[in-house]
Amino acid sequence: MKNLQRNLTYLSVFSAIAFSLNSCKPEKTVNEENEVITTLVVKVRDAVTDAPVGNFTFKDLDGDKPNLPVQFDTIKLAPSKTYKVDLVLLDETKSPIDTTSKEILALKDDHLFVFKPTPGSGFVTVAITDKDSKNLPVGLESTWTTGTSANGALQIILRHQPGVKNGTESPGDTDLDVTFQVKLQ
Amino acid sequence: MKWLAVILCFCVFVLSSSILNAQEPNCVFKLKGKVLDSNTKKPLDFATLQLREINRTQLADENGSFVFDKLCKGDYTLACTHIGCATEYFSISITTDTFIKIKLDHKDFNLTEVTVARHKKESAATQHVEQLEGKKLDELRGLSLGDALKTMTGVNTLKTGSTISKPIVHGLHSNRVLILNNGIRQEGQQWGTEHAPEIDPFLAKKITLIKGASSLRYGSDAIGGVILVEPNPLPTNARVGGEVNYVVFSNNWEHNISAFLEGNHTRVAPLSWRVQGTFKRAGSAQTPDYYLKNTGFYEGNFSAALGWEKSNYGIELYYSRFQTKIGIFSAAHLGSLSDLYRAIQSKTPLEQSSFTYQIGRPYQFITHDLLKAKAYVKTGSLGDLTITFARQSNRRDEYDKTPPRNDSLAGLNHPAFRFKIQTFTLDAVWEHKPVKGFSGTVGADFMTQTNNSEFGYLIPNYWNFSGGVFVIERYTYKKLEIEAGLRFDYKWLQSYVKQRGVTDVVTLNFAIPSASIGFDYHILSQLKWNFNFGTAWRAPAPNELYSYGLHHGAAAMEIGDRNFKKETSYQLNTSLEWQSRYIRVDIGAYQNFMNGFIYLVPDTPPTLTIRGYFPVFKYKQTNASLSGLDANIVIEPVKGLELSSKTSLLLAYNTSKKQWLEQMPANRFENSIRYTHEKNDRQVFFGINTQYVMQQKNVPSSDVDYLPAPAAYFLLGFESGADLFIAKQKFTLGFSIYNMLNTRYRDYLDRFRYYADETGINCAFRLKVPF
Repeated sequence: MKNLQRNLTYLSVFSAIAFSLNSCKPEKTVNEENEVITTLVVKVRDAVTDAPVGNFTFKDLDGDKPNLPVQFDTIKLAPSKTYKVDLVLLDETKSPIDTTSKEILALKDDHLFVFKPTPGSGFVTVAITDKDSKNLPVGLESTWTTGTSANGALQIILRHQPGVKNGTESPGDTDLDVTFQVKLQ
Repeated sequence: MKWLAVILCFCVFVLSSSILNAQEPNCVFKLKGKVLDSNTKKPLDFATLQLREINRTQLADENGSFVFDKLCKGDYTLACTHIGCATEYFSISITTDTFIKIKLDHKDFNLTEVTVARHKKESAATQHVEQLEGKKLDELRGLSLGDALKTMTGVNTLKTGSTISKPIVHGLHSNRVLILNNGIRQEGQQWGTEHAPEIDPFLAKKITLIKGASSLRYGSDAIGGVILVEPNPLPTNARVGGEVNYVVFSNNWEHNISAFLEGNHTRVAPLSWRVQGTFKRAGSAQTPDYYLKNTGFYEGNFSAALGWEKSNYGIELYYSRFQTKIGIFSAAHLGSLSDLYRAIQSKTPLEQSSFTYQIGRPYQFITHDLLKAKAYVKTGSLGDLTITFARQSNRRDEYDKTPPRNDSLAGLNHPAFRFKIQTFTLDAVWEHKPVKGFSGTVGADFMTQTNNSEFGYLIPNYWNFSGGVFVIERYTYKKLEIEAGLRFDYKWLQSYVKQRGVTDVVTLNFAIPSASIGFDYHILSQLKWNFNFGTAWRAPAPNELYSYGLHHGAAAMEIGDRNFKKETSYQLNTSLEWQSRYIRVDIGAYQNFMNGFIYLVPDTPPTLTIRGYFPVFKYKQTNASLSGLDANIVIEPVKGLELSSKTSLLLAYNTSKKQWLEQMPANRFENSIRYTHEKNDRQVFFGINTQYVMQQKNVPSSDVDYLPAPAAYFLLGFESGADLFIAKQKFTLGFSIYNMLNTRYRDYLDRFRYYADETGINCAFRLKVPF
């Protein structure tokens, strides 16, 4: 009996130590497969001549983590003109760089861009020109009509609305929310 | 819903009246006994004796004598409590009229004509301890561990909507409250406020709460308290038995079914076993006005135990698995600060649904496995040695509200975050034989743990080792019992911190002693006074040190601080207990000084990201003072009628910043009246209970909260139950109504209080069939 007791004690101690030593060391790096949007490029063309006017960029390389953006351009346009605008979204954490806006185009029924100029009237008027399969606006393509010389801002919001898109801003989540300074001069 | 309640109540009453008149089964045996003081050999008056299985309680008379009559044949656990002594438990087989002599206040006791299987001295004798067991626990079946514990004074719940709740003890929660699941310290994902304990409450036959720190026996980090979730000991007599429980809730049509089967090998007497399982399924919960979208869940749990028990040694193997999928209220899952404001401004949630059992995104999927091996040796002259080894592995998958946009990524159906924690623990405890009034315990414990994340980064991967040694000695002199303990812990923590794409290896070491001293004094035979002073400490957790990023779904940036030092607590706990025929009073007061208390505070300015501005919350260290009072008064003016009143008060102050501490539970008052009719070993009871929770006004004046603390609320409840025999088979029925007035309210400590009301009226029907 004494032997059995001793053996049992030894057995449990040994098995514990063996298990502990085997206990796999943690991986030092975390394999991340999150989708991040790091960059928004506003590509502006002249509506009449189709000539490029400029690319205006917001770039935050850690996406929605705390580090601050590394590039945040001011949009400079001429007053009283009409422009064609394309939005390009990138994930620059991936290699090769992932063009998120292509995925948005493929899933356009679930996405809506919202444009909010300040001041609200007579400054920049945005008209969305692309539509999804239900004839609701998307916003990757739009025309911007500028008013008289002024300084203001334009907020661009991307709403992710899988299954609940109805053409308004309310449903869903915000995937992107950037407010550019705009100068009409 | 209300008419349903009325019908069900009616049924319960009809049943209960029929039960009392029903034919009696073969229950004619008597258990007589006498309680003696082991030192003086004189009778002890007014000890409380309880047969736990049938919840019958008798008070011994002046001469220490007691009688339980009309007992059925069977196995019982007799709990003997006297104001001078810790509760002792005896296993008794009733086959004929039986006499038992109980000597208290000493490790020895004499029994005649009974077989005593085990007895146990309660640990933490000088601390404020509360227990849920027997009928009391039966009435809480189906509730989460947090909600069941909330029936005790000084306990609140920290909720994340209707599906996730965790206990707060004396204002402290998560890493500061230690939960022992069948003797093993639960090592899951307790660091997160929205991570509920991964434990099946149906496992428990007894839930014990030790309030306050200084539980040196269980770990230095139990600053708020220790919760022991324990099943019954394995059976020792040759019989196969079990129990089936069924519970249904009307609010979310939650069905719970749980059963266990246990036995003892007829030919190999030392061998005993138990298997147990639970399945739960719930649909969308509803507030008085709307359904909460995506609040369904399911849970499936299984456990098996095998024991080999001889008089001087024994081994026990135990395995359990807990698995759950929990829907997260989708209108509270936010992408940005403007989403948050939009959700708060809306009177009703922005997303609503009808009733469904479907669980959509976002959701959590959690698996917890526990394997335990325990061996003990009773050496007789040298005392008892117990060695326990356990392996736990916990996997937590959190699925985001929206799947990835990329089709090939979405096709993999990976969670946004996966946390895998693996823990090995080894404990050795030696209880020495009493020597000249001294009894005590010496022990050592060891733990190693790894954390591996996948798919997303929120907290770093880490590896830790910790070990502790402790000694607790108790000295008894007449009416005074003194307990003192010392503990020394060492902790090593290596984290792989990723910041801006670079991984840093950060190693921290802690080596810290803790101590406790207390006494237990019987001023009168009915009046006991406890006093305890203890210290406790906790190493900062990886989330407090290294969080750096957006909190999934909470629309907040959380930032840790890697310069944190340990958190130390100095606590005074005292309680007075009065117990007489008509009145029982239990009042406890505590003062907890926390040095380096780690908490989360809003910080300015908000951070700009591609998803807009986010509020920033930083973990900070401060000094804090938590003082409070728990009171429980029970008056029984006539036999069967019980009036009870419970009060939980807490004042939490940030002494460094000279302001109140945020996120602390509000004061709570509960009153109830209940009538119990007992005949033989059957019971019928019904009662009304009320709960009043004040508005938390003690918040910092500069508090940057999105909404002020919600208004005070009052809830009314109903409870009833009855035992019923059909062909000698016992059935225990219960029927309760929670939030009977369908009150609209919000609770300060529900993280979803910004977006939705709490749940409305909820009827519960419970059935227990022992066999």
